[in-house]
Amino acid sequence: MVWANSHHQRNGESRRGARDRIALVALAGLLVSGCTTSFTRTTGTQAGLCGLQVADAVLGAYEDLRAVAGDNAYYQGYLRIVVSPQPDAVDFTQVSDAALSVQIEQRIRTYRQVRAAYALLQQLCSGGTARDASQAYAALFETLRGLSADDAASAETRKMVSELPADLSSLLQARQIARAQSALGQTAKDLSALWDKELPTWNDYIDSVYVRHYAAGLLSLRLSNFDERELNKVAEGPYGAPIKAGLFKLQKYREAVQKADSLKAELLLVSNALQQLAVLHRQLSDTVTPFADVLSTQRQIGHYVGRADKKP
Amino acid sequence: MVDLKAELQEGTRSAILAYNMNRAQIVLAAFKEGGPEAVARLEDEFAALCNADFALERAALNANHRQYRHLLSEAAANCDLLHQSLIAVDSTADILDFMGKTVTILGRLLVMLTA
Repeated sequence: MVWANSHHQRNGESRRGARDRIALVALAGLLVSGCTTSFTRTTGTQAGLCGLQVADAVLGAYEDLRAVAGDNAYYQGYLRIVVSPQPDAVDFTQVSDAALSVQIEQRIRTYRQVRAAYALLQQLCSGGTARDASQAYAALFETLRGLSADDAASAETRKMVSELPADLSSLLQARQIARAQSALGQTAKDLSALWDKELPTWNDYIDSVYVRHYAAGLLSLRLSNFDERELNKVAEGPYGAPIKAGLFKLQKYREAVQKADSLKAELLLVSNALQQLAVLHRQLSDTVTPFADVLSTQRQIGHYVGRADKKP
Repeated sequence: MVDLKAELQEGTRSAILAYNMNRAQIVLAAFKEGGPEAVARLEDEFAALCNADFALERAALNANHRQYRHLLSEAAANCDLLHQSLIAVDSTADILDFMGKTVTILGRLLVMLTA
């Protein structure tokens, strides 16, 4: 087994930083015993910890997408006021609304379940009494059944979950955990594909809110829309009022584009993290995968999740 | 085969961009022609156009429907007219007319999309 032969390499890798914490926690299982159960628990713990990180990143991204609706209402109200000949009389509540809360909530509910499944997998594999493991498995089984009923689940996932035994047998424990891990891996693959399919739509939504529906409207403003004394306070440089008006518009336009770019970058990082999670499951199911490859995938997941976590 | 939905989305977005890039001028012209009520009508139609753009995105997140080819062509043609009108900063009455027609067709289309 390649894993068992790479102890020294693992110790060297573990000094590289906090990202290796996952690998060290997982290795604890191997030090306790050297049987198949230990190997399965190691892989399950690794998948559990990485899955939790990725699920949190996805949930964070959906929370940020939910906040876009508030920005849209503000920016549309803002534009309606600044272009109006009677700005003090504008009803800024009558603006467009993407009404995507239902779609976002559906996806958040799914990923909360995904997060719960990974937490249970980790709990199941990280030791404890047989009773704890049995309870964690039963809960994981129910969570996987719930996930397999989701629209995002493929026929393959449904089949894998339907074949899982409902109770954890002490004799077949390792095999059952491995099958549950594989079923979760298949779910991760489905969710990654769905995320990538929807990514262009979310990017469009972001561009609509920040650029097409808002920032483009700033271009129509002319010097007559500004108070020159106030403009001098916010626009710097040795320029006349018309140039300062242009520079102020440029600054506001840039801020909006940067906000859109930052959000889209976060969604792309989550996409990468989900893809790598599916890769990790595949590697963990394959006992001949070199440990260095598994560690590299874990690092990549940590890298993508860490960057996605930096809120725009 | 031409992706009519993508064409419609592009047309709607072009119209939104064209309106927005001339928005202060169009709104001022409407105010001079018909006062605050004309401005409110115009801005409300613009909000409806933006809602239609959002609804197309929402529909992509829901399900794909394939029964709206004719409406798509009709709406795409209106988007073109609207776009041309906005670029030329035509009379606000014409803009309002095209915008209203486009929003109506988009509304019918969206009912089918979300059915």
